Amino acid sequence: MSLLLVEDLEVSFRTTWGPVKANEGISLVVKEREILALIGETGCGKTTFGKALLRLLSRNVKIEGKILFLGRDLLALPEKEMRLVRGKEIGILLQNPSLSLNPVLSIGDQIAEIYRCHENCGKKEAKKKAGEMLVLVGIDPSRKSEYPHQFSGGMLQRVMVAMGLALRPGLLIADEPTKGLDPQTKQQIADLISGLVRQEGSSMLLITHDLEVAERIADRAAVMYAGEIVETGEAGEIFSSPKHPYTRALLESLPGKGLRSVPGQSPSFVSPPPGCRYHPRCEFRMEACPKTRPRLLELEGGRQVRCLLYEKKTGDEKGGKTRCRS
Amino acid sequence: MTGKRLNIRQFRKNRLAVLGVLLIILLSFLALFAPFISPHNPLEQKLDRRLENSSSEYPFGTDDLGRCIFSRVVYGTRVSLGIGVLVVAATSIAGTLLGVLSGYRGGLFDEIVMRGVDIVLAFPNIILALVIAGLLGSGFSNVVIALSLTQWPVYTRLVRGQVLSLKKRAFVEAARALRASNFYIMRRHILPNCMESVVVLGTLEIAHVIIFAAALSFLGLGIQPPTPEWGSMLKAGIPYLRSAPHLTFFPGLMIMLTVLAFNFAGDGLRDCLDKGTDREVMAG
Amino acid sequence: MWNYIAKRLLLISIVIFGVTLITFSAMYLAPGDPAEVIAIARYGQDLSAEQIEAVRETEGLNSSVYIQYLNWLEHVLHLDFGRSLISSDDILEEILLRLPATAELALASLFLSLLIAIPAGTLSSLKQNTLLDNACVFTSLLGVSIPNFWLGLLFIWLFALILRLLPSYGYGSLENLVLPALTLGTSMAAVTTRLTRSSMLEVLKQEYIVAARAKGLDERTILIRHALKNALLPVLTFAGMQLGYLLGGTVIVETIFAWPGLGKLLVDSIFSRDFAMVQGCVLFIAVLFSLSNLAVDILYAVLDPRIRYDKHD
Repeated sequence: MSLLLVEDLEVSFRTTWGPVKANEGISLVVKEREILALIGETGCGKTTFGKALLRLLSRNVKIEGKILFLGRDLLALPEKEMRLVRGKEIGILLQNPSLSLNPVLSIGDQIAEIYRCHENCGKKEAKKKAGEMLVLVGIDPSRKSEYPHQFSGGMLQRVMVAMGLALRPGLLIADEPTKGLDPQTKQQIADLISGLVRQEGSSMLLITHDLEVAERIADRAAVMYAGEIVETGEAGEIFSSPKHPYTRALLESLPGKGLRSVPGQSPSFVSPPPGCRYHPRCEFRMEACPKTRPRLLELEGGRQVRCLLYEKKTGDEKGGKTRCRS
Repeated sequence: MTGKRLNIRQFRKNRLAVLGVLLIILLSFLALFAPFISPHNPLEQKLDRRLENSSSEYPFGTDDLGRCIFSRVVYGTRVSLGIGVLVVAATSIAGTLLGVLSGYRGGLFDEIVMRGVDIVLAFPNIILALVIAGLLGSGFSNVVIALSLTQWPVYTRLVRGQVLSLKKRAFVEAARALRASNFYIMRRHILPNCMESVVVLGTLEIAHVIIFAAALSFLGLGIQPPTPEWGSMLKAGIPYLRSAPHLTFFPGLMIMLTVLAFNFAGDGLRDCLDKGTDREVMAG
Repeated sequence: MWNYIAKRLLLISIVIFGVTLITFSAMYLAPGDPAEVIAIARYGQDLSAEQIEAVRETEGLNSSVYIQYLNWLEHVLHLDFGRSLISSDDILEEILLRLPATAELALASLFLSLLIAIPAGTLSSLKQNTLLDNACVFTSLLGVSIPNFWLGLLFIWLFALILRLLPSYGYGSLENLVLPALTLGTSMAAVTTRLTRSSMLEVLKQEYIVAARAKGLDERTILIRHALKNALLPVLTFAGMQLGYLLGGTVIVETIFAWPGLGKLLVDSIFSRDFAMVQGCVLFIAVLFSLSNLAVDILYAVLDPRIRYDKHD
């Protein structure tokens, strides 16, 4: 059963150079009690996607398509109802906790205000619940009157987790929760989040460029490149037998597997390359790649891949003149 | 702020800034050609034509001594712009040089200069200028002296801050490594990079200085009658506020327009300098 | 925190020492023999040489300038500002007598300006680049550019002479306070509005505002708890620093409205060439200004937890 169903999502920024598409034709499913990792390099549009789900982008951003959460289209909700979805039904850990926490409010207050707002708690009650949340994420509750700058990076991330899960939302979006942490803290945080999510029977969309963390906790994975999904499937399968050349290159960049970084630069959103967006960096580039926009092909076992290499193998008759998505 | 270039096209897009510059040009025109523009001698009294309202002969009416207010207002441009330009020229040069030396040399010299800045700025607003002008006695040159003695620290503080950050920049370090003389580095590398913000500050300071000078004259400590000056014209008009408000209306309006012109222009310049920092960056 | 305060106190004492130097030497800017100048102030233009010598004797003007300064400084440090050259009143007493009127005017103006500026600036930032915002920006630029002595006269003309709603001068009742406070407050409101607007725009761009929205807080809570609380920190510091502007502004506004405060005392003393009184007033104002700046800095540190808990300065 799918908890979140995203269909043909397109996010475009209005800029001085005209509209720039940061996400294009994204279709994605997050099932109940599942951790889905959204993987990609920095700047590929992952964060935009995460924020778009909760409609947290600024006003000059246009979002089209469908975001169905438990059957309701979030994009069609009036702002007032959307507000009740945020935090309560879908929690989000924004990137960079030190910027996402208000510097002049104590962390206890910043957690407690969630209860005060959504559950109409009294001050005392809310504070008590905030304290319990801190215990849950492994912070001494006596530190609740301290301010963000008094915490280390790992501790701040724990505070973020406490805030994101405060109302036990059905879905947690975690944007780079392990960014900038040392390897040991990274594992602790990853285990903490996945443990709590599984314990609550919730689902999680883990947005990360850290493949090790994704491999460690995700059930399924989706790979994003230049604002498009290029491959999805069971996490185990993706990591053991990647199909898309980009996924392969990404995996080869892992420390255990050669530490070879993906060659070339990520493309700009302003003038994306024609045809397959990955073709300028692809080692399997074919003649058709710069000309044809590949579509997301369904392979067996729920795998999806957006690459012309697989177009013929599936025996698709229309393979010669693939139609462009969107 | 350093290293950014003024973008003329951006400036032109800012309508208020363009309006400011046009006003400044108009005011300078009034000041330069005052004798040709004013219909009467600004000092000529006609006691049988006192406190008259606007007419085709006297566009802004006449004052309590039967002088043409329009002509006096036009001539007043000379005094106000003159004081503004003189004071800002003197203080911006002196203040900038002190700031460059102070920031570049550091040490005891810097310490002394900065305490000097603090001390002068410890007298709020117009107080120190008021006392200096009051003790020196009134008159054009004393107003210029009083305002110059009190306005230099703003430049010193701004420039010193910029020099401190410039000193750490690669091109200065490189010049030092090449054993360029301190004088050369200050002249070729430091000073040019401070100029833009000094120009912005100077433009805004002209507005300040003009208000201060008019305030001194308004209090009776600046330019004295019969010299046509806006502040002293305001003061002279007070007894006639009810019966002939035009005596105070036009000089005040001129002060406001002049100050507004320099504020618009200065703001526009500053915005041009600031641009480029706040373009929306798309997060990954 | 305490380190910080101690350091500031040390700096401020250096500054105040410099202020006494300037204040003292300003006396010597006046052309002519100081003894004669004082004698003229005291006895009028018709003087005998003996009178001038007597003044020189009593005022200690025989000794060298340094000795005179040190004598004066010693008295000042004992809070003895000397006596008025005209009325022989105790200077500090006279200043303290005038202080409440100035404080009343300055605080009323400050209050009035914040009352206008914070809502206007906030609204302007929330409606950025709309007609309302542009009108706000334009009006505040206009407000900055209006000389307050002209504005004061316009207010008197409109409210006192034409509409006959309020008295044009005097001191004592609330009615008397309205026009002077409005005159002094509006130009300050203009500056503060601009600052509030830009400070709010800066804060609204911050990630913690997005985070607050992501928690599902309502817009009011986000605005007041998260945005305003951060945005008002620089505004309040600025308002504190503006006390200096107000002290300077009172000189003009008090003169226009015949408000019996410190500013009017200073201007009157300059005209009557009561140098001792001028010295006292200027010194008092500068010290008051320095101390109020210090108080604002400390208040800022108290309000901003980032500074409050910073142990190493």
